[in-house]
Amino acid sequence: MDEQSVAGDVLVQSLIRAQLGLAFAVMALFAIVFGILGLSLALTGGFHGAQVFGVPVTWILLGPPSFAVIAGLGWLYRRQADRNEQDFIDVVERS
Amino acid sequence: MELAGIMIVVIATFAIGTYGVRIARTTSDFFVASRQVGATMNASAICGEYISAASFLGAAGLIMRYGSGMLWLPLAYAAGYLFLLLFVAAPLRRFGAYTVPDFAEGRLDSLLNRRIAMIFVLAIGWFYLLPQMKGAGLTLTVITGSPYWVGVVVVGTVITVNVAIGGMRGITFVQAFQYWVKVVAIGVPALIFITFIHHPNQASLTQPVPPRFANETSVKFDRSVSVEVSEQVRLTGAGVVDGLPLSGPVDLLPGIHTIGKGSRLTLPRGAAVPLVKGTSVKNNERWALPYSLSGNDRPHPLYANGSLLVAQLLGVMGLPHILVRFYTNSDGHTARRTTLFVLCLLGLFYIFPAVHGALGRLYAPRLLMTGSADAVVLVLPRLIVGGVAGGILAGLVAAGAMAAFLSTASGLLIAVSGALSQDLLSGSVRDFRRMAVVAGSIAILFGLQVRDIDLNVLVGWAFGVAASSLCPLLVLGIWWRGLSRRGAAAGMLAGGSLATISVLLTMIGVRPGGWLGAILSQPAAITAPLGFLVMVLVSRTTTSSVPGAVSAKMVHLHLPEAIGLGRNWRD
Repeated sequence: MDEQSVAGDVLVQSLIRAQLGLAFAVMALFAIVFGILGLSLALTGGFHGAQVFGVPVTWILLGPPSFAVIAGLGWLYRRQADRNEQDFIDVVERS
Repeated sequence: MELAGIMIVVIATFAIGTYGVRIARTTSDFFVASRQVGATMNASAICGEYISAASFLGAAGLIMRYGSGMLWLPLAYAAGYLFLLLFVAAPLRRFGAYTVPDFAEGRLDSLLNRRIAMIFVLAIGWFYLLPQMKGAGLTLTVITGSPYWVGVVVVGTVITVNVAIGGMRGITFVQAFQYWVKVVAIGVPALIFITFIHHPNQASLTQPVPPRFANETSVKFDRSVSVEVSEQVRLTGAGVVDGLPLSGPVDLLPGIHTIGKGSRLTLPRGAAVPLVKGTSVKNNERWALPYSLSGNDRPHPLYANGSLLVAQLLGVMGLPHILVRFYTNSDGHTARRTTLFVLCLLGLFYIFPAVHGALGRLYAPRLLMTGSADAVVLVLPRLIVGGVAGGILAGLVAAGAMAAFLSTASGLLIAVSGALSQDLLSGSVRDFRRMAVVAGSIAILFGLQVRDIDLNVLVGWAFGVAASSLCPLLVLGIWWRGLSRRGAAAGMLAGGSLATISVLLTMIGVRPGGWLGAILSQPAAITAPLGFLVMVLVSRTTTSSVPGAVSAKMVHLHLPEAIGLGRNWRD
């Protein structure tokens, strides 16, 4: 495959579009998850001050589970981004 | 004990730094460790570099004062890396530039854009160095009682010397080591506090009561403060209250009172803590539940918080000392793997500041009266555990704090002196060392001026400038073929300089009320979108200055290395 060829250019463009679309999708997921969490905490006053073992649920939810969600989104993105690249390599090697 | 902890970290830093410099031979080795650092080591080093005084000390302090609304802050510090992973990590590594100015030049074939990017690298670096200097001054003041300037000068000098002799190779090992120091230093005390110790007054933290002194407490004021008294309280001790020297016990009525510098007052057990005016939530229930932003004299607190979050999420992408680490990954895949490790390691660290912040409100409420909540992590071990064990924990925490400003400040100093020496001088190792000394001295001088500004406000400024200047350049440069030279320059200048000017105005004390004041003190929510917008609009109208060979550059940025074309723009 040559950098200058038209077909190569189209292929690279489609890879870039796939990766950018994936990035926006994960970003949207991030916004939805934390938007819902933030809104529901704000509107219910932290689920009416509910507690688990004497700790308000607000403090628990915004702790380890939230960090796990962020890492999980990162994991999801990396898996899918690597797949996109593998698909691209497969197409190029077949041609 | 605390001093011992600090000394161990300093000595280990020097030792690892000098060991590293023996391996570093060429200039390329010296600057980016020849790109031979593994993903785990690199991820630890990135976290070591990233977790600064603002995270180690400041996050707990803010949570202690404002409560649950501030729990978003550590989350956003970590989530910034998710955005970096999505938009920047792999392509930037594949492009193969050493620094952001290198990227600007290589992507746009433009020396002008290189210079503009360099100016913002310097601005961000210096803004970010200030809170590290403040953290250093504060920590040594708390531990040894030394004046603020001693800590700034001593730590600033240690950092400058270490950077000048060590370079990047040494720093990679040092940074990785310091991440683990910081996690242990904040995590072990937090785990001990919550598993082995019973907190008899814990329930009061969620009740509609003000924070109270658990015991008779003597409070020393090393600067003058205005406090808000909520319940009548009887003071004893020596000092100046409301401009009158204290003679014998005095009853303070509810309202605002000023306490003079150098006063030493004793408050009785069970008294409601007089809080520094407007810097803390007064009622524990409001503090514990969302959104406790009242009791706060900042204009438009929701905007201020939201803008800080925007700065954190987008700012990480534009932090020069972090980005330089991505060039030490071996390829784009490794860059993604590294970032994923970073998200996990940061999550591990950032779950702990909330524990310190909450217990601080219970055990160290006097910090709310003196306005030094940033010190809460340092004082808790002796207050909660006491005895020899408390001393050991206090030493551990002090070592962690030292690691926090040593590592971040070193990374920033490398980024700043690297940019200076490569762009203004010949770029030799000797120039780098000379510039490290110059940049370090300037940071010390300015660090002396920011004592009264919150650590997280200072860091928020650096993030805000990064989010408004380098972040749009990187994101649009990586993903958009249409970015033109003029567009990139105009966008960086518009977003970045407005953010910088707002920050400078706030720093010198221009703080108008209302919306203007809110925007000036935390500009990112306006200036970051502005940077993107100007970049796109100007690029659209100046298509003649779109650089040539864009397709080849896109190939370099996005093609997996396995295909064999992903060479560096330098090749």
